[in-house]
Amino acid sequence: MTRSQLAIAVMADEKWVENTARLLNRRLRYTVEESMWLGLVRMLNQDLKLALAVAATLADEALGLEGEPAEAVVGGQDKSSAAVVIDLERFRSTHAGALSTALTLGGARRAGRRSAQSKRKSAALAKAERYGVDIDLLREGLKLSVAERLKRADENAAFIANMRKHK
Amino acid sequence: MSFASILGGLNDRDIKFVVVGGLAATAHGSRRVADDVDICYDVGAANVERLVDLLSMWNAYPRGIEKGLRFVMDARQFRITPLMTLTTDEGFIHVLDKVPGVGSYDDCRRRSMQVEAFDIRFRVLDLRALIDAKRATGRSKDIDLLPELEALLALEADR
Repeated sequence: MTRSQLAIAVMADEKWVENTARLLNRRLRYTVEESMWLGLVRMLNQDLKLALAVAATLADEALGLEGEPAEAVVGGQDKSSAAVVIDLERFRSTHAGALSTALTLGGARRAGRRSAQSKRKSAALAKAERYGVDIDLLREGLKLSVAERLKRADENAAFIANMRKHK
Repeated sequence: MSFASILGGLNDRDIKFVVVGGLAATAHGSRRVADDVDICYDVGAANVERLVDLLSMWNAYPRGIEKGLRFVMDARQFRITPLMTLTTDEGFIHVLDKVPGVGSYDDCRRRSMQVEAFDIRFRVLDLRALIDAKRATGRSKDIDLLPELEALLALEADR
């Protein structure tokens, strides 16, 4: 799953996904499970205005319940009479829809930045060309084996030596 | 003049050496024409003796120096002049006890690859080490070669 697909599945924008991961000190995994967890966090955070850390704890609790309960009562402490009831059945359904959209329309992985190594390679070739090196000729030469290259060099050197002798 | 006979001679005498310089560049695909064999040799006494014997047999003499001057080819000459550019019956050979930017024979050997050509096997400085060596010398003819070597390194990475 790409980052944009994850964002669609979570029903948030990419910025929110990135910022939330950073604030929760969580390394994102681009999986369906992650999108479900993060989707629940987003819902608790944005719809119920719970702090991100609290939303994350409650999402852990709700999705950690055994089986697939239709609803989860989370956050209720023994000494408190307050708790959050989550309609998990509805949430799963919503998430399935968002996930489908994400996978269908979310777009393929972007090419991303060229690696530093790739940039260095291109720069080296461009520099050599500016310098007058014929890259095609180098490519042709590289098709030969080392033995063939050295044999050719030997013949060239012998030819030059011969020319010098008869100058 | 033959690289084959120079390399064959070194090989036949069991001389420990690594090909460095222009011929090494050729082995890696450089299109520059090399007219000499540059080697980095092991400075061990036995190896130097073998090298002395071979170069004496080939009538080695300092390259570009007027003929007829006294020149002694012996182990002491190697100790005093660890880098020599010589002309021989077989062609030009440059002998070095160490390569700038790379190091001694052992360092060169570590950063070399074995190749097979002219029906013999010998070691050639690898491309990265060759680039380090050319850069370290700072001579214009070596710096001149860098763009081509770096391009070859880039092309090699694609292969």
